[in-house]
Amino acid sequence: MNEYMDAVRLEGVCRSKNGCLYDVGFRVPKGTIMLLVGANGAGKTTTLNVLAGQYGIEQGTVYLFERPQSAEDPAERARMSVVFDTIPYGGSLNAEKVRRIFAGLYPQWNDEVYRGYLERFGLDEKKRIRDYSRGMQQKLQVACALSHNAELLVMDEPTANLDPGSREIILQCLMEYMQEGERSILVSTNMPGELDRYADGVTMIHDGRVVFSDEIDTILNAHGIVKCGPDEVSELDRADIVGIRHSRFNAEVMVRNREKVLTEHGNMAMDPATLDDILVFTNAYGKGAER
Amino acid sequence: MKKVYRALRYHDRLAISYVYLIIMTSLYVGMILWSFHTEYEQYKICATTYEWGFGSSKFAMDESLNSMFQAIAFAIPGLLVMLFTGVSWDSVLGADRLRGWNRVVKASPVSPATRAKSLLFEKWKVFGICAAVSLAIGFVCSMLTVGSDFAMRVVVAILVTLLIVGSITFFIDAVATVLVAHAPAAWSSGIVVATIVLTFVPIMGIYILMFESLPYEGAGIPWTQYSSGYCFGPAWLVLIVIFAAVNVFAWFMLKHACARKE
Repeated sequence: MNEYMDAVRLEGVCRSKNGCLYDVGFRVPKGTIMLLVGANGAGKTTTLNVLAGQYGIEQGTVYLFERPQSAEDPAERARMSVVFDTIPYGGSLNAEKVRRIFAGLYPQWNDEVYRGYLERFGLDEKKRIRDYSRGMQQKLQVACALSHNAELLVMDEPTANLDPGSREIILQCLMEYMQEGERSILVSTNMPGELDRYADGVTMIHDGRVVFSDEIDTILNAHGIVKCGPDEVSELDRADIVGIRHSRFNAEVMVRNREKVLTEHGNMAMDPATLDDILVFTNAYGKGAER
Repeated sequence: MKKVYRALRYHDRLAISYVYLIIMTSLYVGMILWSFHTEYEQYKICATTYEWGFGSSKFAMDESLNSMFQAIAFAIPGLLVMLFTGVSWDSVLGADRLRGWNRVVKASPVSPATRAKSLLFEKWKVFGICAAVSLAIGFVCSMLTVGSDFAMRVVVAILVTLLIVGSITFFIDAVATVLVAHAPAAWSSGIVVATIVLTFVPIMGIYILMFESLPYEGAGIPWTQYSSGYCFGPAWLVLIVIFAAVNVFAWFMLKHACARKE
């Protein structure tokens, strides 16, 4: 195994069919949790599918553990796990049969760890997958992903179908996974508020383009919500505006250069922004594609 | 009928393969019995005693025992053909499940070449076992029926049919499996329909030609008539050409599917 700084690095990745990506580039440093956020159809799943070897790319390079990814020699994939948005296992199988198949695919598969997760998630080994609820199916995928000592976990909206209790259990498992060494997680979500307390970085995708990719604190410190009158909006520099939410008597403006705006417009009230706010303003009230 | 309806309505597409299996079973069994009855009635006119075995161990057999042996010679390879088709059909219809697994395998350290090979190996493993068993049965039947020219021809004919049909079915199935696993979702239905046509038409064609080509008085197609001997003639030549063409097509598609950039 090689020494590496970035578990994942994408450089100038372009793809023009079945989900478009335009010059997508970001990195997931070793030992961090990176959120991949964006609206439905923004390109999150496409990006993860490219990483998971499901989709080809027309331009750019995908590095896994600092080695260019190759479809012909996917040895590096033994070091990563993927949790898909929907369960890919046949409905007629059960958890025991899934175990046998995974044990044949991954050299570092660990039966004990797998059985431990099944027990923890309350999954019956003998029950057919089609008889599981969607939440249980998601838990089974997570159990498989965590059972072969992967260094990188790529997850596509893993908590989307889970009740709050199950979500908490999964998140706890992810935290334990992170504590076991220098491991990394790239997780997509369209509800970043659920996960931001666990994450180190965030990458936002909009219309197949990366809007920003940085540490969460940096992103949150840079953004703010200006509350002002409708007439005052024009005083703001357009380049600083992410999106504007108009109401009857006032306007809320998401700005991306908070310090600058505060300096220039000290009279305006400024609220801190959350990742959910940034996502809402970008997608519902914004002009993200212009960036 | 209600059960079939319920199966189609409430279960996954695999249920259709069971319906297909039932239809094909009826068809094959019906065709075998009908052919046996027709041919046997023709044969009975000119022979009433039968000599089985080989070398010094030849023995005479009465009509009822002979009928039973001939029925076995007809039925076993026919049932194996049916089994091949049923099994392969099941796996084609189960391709949506395979598509899901393909996502898992693509994300794993298994290389595309290994993946394609393992898919094909699974198919050929089953085919190989069935073909070996049917070959053994066919060989034993052929050896035993030295005194019964008609039965020998039938056994040889069915054996060859079995090999050709089995090969075609499994080639097409293997290709369809790989294609469905690789192709975009929108292609799946088209591939399944093409598989139905490519599998079903040659099977029917082979059966019709085979039974038409048996040399009894008043048999059908003129260019399949022989003065004597076994069933290898122009009709079989045509079938072998079809077989070769299908295989070339199948390998082309397979190569294309495997060469697709992941």
